[in-house]
Amino acid sequence: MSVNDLALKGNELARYIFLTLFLFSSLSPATASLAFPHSSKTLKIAIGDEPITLNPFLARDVWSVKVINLLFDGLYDYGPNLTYVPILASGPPEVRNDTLVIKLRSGLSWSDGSRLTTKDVKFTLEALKKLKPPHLRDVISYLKDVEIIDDRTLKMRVDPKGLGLVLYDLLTLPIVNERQWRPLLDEALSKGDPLTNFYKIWPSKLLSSGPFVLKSWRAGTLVLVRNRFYPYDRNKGISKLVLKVYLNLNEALLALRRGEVDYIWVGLSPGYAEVLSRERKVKLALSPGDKIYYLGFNLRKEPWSNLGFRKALSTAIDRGFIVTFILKGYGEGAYSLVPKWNKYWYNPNVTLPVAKLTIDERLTKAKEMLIKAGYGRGNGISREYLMLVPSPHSDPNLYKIAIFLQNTCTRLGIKIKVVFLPLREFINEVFKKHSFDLFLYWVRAKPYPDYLRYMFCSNFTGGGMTNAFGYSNPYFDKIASRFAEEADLTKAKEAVFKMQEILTRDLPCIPICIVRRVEVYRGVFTGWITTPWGIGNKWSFLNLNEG
Amino acid sequence: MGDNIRRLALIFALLLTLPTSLATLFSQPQVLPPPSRYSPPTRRYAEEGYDAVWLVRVKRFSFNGTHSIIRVYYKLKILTDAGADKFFERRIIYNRDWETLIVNSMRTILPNGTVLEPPPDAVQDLPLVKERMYSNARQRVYQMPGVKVGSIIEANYTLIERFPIKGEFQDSFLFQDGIPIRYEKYVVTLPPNYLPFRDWNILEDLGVEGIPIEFKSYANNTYVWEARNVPALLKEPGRPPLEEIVPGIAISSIKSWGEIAKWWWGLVKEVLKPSKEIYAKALEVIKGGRGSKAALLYHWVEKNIKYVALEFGLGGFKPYKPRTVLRNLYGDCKDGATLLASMLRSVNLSAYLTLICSRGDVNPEFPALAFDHAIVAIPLEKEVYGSKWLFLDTTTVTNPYGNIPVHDQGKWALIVGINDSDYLFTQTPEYPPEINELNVIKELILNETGDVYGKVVINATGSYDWALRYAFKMALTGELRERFLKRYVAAVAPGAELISYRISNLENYSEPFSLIMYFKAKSYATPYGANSMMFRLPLFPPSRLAKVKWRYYPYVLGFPSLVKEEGKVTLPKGWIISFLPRGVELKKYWGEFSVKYSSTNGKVIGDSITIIKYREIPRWMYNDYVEFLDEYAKGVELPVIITKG
Repeated sequence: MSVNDLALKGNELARYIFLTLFLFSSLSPATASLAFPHSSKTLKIAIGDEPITLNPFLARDVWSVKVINLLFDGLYDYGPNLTYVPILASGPPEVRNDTLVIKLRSGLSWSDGSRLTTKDVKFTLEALKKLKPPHLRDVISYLKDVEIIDDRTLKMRVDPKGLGLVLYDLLTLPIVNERQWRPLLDEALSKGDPLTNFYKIWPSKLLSSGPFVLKSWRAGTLVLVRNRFYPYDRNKGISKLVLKVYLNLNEALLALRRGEVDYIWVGLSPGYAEVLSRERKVKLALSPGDKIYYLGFNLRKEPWSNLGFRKALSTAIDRGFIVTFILKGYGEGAYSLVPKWNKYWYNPNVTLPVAKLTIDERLTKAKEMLIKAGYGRGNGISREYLMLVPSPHSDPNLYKIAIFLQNTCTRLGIKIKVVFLPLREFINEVFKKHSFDLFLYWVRAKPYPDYLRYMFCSNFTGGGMTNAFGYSNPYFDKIASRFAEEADLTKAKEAVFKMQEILTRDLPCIPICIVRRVEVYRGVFTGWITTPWGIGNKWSFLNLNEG
Repeated sequence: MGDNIRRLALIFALLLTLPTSLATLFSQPQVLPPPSRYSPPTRRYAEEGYDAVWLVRVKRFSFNGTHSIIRVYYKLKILTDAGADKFFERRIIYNRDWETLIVNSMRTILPNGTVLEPPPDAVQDLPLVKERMYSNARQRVYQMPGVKVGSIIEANYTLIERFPIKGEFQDSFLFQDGIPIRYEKYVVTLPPNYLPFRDWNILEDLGVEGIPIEFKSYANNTYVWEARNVPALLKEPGRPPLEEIVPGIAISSIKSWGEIAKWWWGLVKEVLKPSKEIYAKALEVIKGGRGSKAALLYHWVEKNIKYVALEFGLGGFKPYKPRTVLRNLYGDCKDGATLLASMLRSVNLSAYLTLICSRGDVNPEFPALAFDHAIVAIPLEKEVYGSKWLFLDTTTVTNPYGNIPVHDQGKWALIVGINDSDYLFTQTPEYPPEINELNVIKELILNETGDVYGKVVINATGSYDWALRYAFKMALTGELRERFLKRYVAAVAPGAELISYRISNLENYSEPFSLIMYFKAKSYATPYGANSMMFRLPLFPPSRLAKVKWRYYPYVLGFPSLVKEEGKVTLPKGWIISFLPRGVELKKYWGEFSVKYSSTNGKVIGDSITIIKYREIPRWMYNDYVEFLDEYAKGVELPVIITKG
């Protein structure tokens, strides 16, 4: 499948938000910029914290990103059924060797009615090149330059080694308004250290290209209203979002019961889900979940550098136990870091042959494997190893899984000390200092699995980079490079399948399980759209109606 | 509920809601504590102002299938004279109904290495007496000899415990204290077949400060948690209760809330059945009364059953028979709740016994016997503030029917015996601010010399109604009442003299509590140049706070409430206003404040409204709240200037 087949995929989205009508019809600019009157339907949402920033160039924290995604659109995006669809772009890009030609939709406007043009797109991408935010440093490096052909057409020259990444990742980033942002950016650049200076800066009246506009933000409460100039708007769904911070889940639940909020934009832990599933008053929304837990090894150290040792440990881990007793059924064992729901990219051949064994059978088999690997009867594993785990505040399931895994290791004769750390310290110890033997963490699976490359390619093993394992396999690197440069999705898929196979064979980390996302909402609105990461997404908010 | 349960609840205090906290998941970086809090171990604790430091604290818990064995060992180093005075007396609390105490050693190690043991007369075993709570709870008290600066107190004792639910266990360990801790360890040993998360559950929390905790397990089914160099808790104003902020581990073998419901229903089911006496009393109470049957019965029970807890053996969990309570006219929360539920049932009303935790809350993810209070739940036809249940607390004495006391609101509640076997684990509702309304009107008549005659009218609803009625009925009686009212009017107008007062509906709980006071005061207004006077409208400013560089813990505001204050001053004839302050309107996350000034028919009026929406605010909002109070205070503190026209 090539990018030019995207039109077909894009049609699937139409079921949800009538998007396709606009994507592929010749809607005139005059019609598109016509502001639709809205009803006064307000969706009240409980959130866990305020965004730290509304600067789309540098935002990383979950609440900032969630709000920014409602305010800004990218050229392309992944729809609820994970298809890659043009949003600000009028259709799939034209790929000519190292050049991408992209045409914007006609009649695009900012939320003040002014025109959104290729100047804004060029500014956004060039600003990213200047800023080089750490999380985008790699992908932006493949973009050579951007040339404006006309108001609606632009040409990008791309390093062929990263063509796929630019196409399927970079082009989904939010586009900002040049008029508003250029003075702020120039000032930040002139001061030096723009990543720090620019982090908490954004224009006072933020112009949106996305479905919502920030109306007000007082401490603890954000009000977003529908962008009247949003091209996919059909006076459907809600007209206003009120996002309010609640101190804890109990307070948010009480507010939901009272009718003060309609939806809590936070995933519930399995214990809460179990309790609330008995109540009629509260409605639970189950989504497949995008959080995959894994056990990572420091391959720079013995015995973790020994494949046989890692395989023995992998054999011993009873995912069924974790899913049944820790996740209380709200999860599924994982054997790949690409989840099953990502059907296009998931390689179904990566399960382990020992998936159905009992705990005792696993331990017996694992002990045999340890002996074969040269570590039998405590040989070579007499010292105590350090497993780092983020605080229960960051994830209420991980400490339980850590205790279970530590106990499994104890029964195998491997001495492990688990240290639970606040998330900030955990990241510092694992990703910057590499001062661990094992760590337990999660990865948020994305529709385009470029995270496999960042996590496991050998050029990301430095301090502060994403390959904390120190995994280095030239063959994997080669396949990952092929994936990065591949614009043809069919060929990219072959590469990702191969990458999963290599990872299953080499086990730089052991995928443990994926936890289902459980959310609560009131039945006032209908039309929620389930994505793997929950029902709180712009597709839902564009589609909701009072039911 | 009872001493036993209360004690368990305290032990389980850490089961509060931190693991479910939304805000802490992504807390704002600017309010993180400075790193020096975590930079051990060469610290000079005495120089930092600590009176003592825990050198070692170890708790070992083991379960043998029927009994729990808890071994405690600690070393406490005294750093100051104040520390010697504060810590030389050591207490070990236990309950003879459930526990056997074996003290292995208690000794003082002097700085020169000399070891002293307390003489026999320095050891007493006394009942743990709390007002109106009687049980077999004991305290073994040791006056440790020779304690001075540099001494170490060492303790080593064992408790053998039988858990009220047969074959089950639960325990916990808190990792932070009011003084620093150098090293601490919690060790759990279970029978070989007990698998974690299948046969027993673990709740872990790093606390607000994210204290790193280490964990190991051993092949003999032993689990160990350790922490090192843990800083002392800070004494910040408005800090939430300890259990909400300290790191800790809790363990429990209880699998579900249903298991607790089933166990407790087994204890109370037979007791709850209405007898002839109960039916007769219920009829008597209802007969001739005004209002609903449920309201009449509720008010009768809360008014007439005096609180006292006699909790020996299972008495900590099993209520007395309603007819016994009726005869004695005393009992604890579960006795009162059982009597009320029984009376309601006797007149064919549905009523269910319910367990909650009035101090703190239980954690829905962690089923445990962590409740400390029993109340009654009655089903409603229509939802009230998100709940189809009305919860009745019989220990409140003066609470109006329909109001849930604030300490019972927004809590997880276990309603038992639904359809004779089922249960419901749900939240009690939290009422919005307007339900707890305090309405105060202060009306003054000013004469030309600046003196005033005044009247204050106070009306209250919800929890204000309950609290004021309680204060005037149970605490402010006789001479105390008048002394209090005199102080109140003096706060309205300095030097004011109380002329008279009237309280309405002190006994009629169905109508809102009301209080009227009349007073006079001299020189309320002060001269302001020739022919002018200055005075402040009688509006109370809030207590103010200071801004801080770091805030570690959330700030507790109280409970959702609405306070309306009207200050009205009638001017002397012929006087006009030459300066009237501008109004203020503040709307914040946690609440609102507005004050408006106006004048009409020779009167100056200030209307203020204060709304508090939440019990707590996140720590990063604290300084904003301080500014809010400043603005609020400025809004009511500016004077009015009047001139003879």
